[in-house]
Amino acid sequence: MDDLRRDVNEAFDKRQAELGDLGGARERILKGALGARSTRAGYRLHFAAGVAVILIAALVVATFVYVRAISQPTPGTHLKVTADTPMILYHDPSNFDQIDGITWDGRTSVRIGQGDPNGGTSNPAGTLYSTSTEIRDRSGNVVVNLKGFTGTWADDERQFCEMVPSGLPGAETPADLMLVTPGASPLRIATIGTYPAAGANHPPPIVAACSVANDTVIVVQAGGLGAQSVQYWAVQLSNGGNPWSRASSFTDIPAAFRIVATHDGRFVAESTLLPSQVTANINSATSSKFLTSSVDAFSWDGSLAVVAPLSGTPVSLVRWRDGTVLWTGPVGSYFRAAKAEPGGSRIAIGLVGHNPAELTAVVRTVNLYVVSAEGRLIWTKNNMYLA
Amino acid sequence: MAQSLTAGSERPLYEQARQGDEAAFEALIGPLVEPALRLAHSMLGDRWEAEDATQEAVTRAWRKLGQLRPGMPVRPWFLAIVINQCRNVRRTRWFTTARIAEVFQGSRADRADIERVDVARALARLPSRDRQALFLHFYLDLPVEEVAFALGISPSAAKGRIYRACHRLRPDLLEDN
Repeated sequence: MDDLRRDVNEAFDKRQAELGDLGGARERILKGALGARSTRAGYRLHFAAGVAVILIAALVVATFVYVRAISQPTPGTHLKVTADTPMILYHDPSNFDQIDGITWDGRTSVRIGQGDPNGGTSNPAGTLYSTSTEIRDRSGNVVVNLKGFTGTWADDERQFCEMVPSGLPGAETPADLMLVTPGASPLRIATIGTYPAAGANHPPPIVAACSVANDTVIVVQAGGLGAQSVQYWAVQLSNGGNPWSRASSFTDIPAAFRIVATHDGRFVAESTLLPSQVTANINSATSSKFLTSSVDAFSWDGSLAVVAPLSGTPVSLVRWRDGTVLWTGPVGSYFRAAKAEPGGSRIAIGLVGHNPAELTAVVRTVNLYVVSAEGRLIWTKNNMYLA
Repeated sequence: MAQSLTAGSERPLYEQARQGDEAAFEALIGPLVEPALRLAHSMLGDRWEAEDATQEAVTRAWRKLGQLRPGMPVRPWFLAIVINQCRNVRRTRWFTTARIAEVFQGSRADRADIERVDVARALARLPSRDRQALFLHFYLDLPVEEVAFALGISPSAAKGRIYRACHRLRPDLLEDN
């Protein structure tokens, strides 16, 4: 019990450290509280008059709402958010078994349903989300039981793509790209890439984009040609065809690759992070565009990219075709996550206050900046753990 | 961390405060402000919201001084006001900003780090009422009776809540390790 108590107190200590120096807090709080008490006493005489004004105003508003309701009887719901309104889902920080959602304008937040801190991700519109054991809908209802979601949601908001070994798990085997409709049998699209043997030092292939709308999936394999290499393929969902692919490798120097794709797979940014420089090639079936920064995310239409310099900070939103910088985040903040508004032009950029590459920690909470296509910061909120 | 006061043992201060003596009120409540602020931060996760909630709780404590009876402990009485105020803040704010525990990858962290992180993670997964009980009992060092008073439950229920929280932490640790 003593060990547990010590560990618990250390955990509490760690959180309490965020309070910083409390010097002066006691005097400030007492002074503020007693000041507020005095002020409130002065207001008591006006209280009855205030209540009367509020009652009259409420009566006027109620009458207006009633008249409006009987003249427009169609709305069948009292929900401010419809079942398909795009939302950003996140774990409620006071109970991250609870998933909440917020609209892209930042004005409405709602309770969604049960989640868990180690669950997967939500689809682009936030109408479905995965936990460790199931997929749930916007109302929190279980759509299908599914252990260990590892897929990439498709842009139809309904299906997802995932890579699975085609042979026996544990042995090196070709990988199968599957399209999954929750509750239905998975559909094999193509055999592409290699699932490594258990214990191999490179990961299995992943899906960077799964687009039903554009009939394209981007499959990425890191390490397939050597320790510092990457390959990626565009695959057609309708016939498993492979219209184009790329491969890059470095053998002499430490190199890291970061591959991000637009939701429709039209553009793939291949960022190469070397000790002395960072570059990105934004590739498509027909063209390539060179940038002197890494690309961390795209907007939904693919015209905007979230980029970072060699140092990783500050993070910017740019129109990548002409290099116009639309918005720049705080210096000292590093990219951690992003979500593009499905069908819209806004992008939510999650930044953290320390370089993720220099930490052993996986930092899940981000400071979220929702930025318009014109580079206007629409709203921001700290310490969000996105679902 | 904070001394245990009762209305009876501090009768002069308590009586003076009830009669409007701000200095007496500050002497009565002042030592409890820091633990109250820490408690509020543990519930709200944001320093400035915690300060606001604590300040509001102090204001309410002033107004509720008449509720204090001889023999009634001041510390859990005041912390109960803080807890209620934090619950109100959580209910009414449009958006919540509490931090969650950072989760470390095992490969590069040493054993002690892993264990600490696992405790933090297991703690963060506890229902908030169980976490509050642990915070009051372990971190603020309140006896079970004061934990019960602050949470508005019976001592046996408080004891059960602390026991249950510990029990939930241990399987988590065993499972993760």
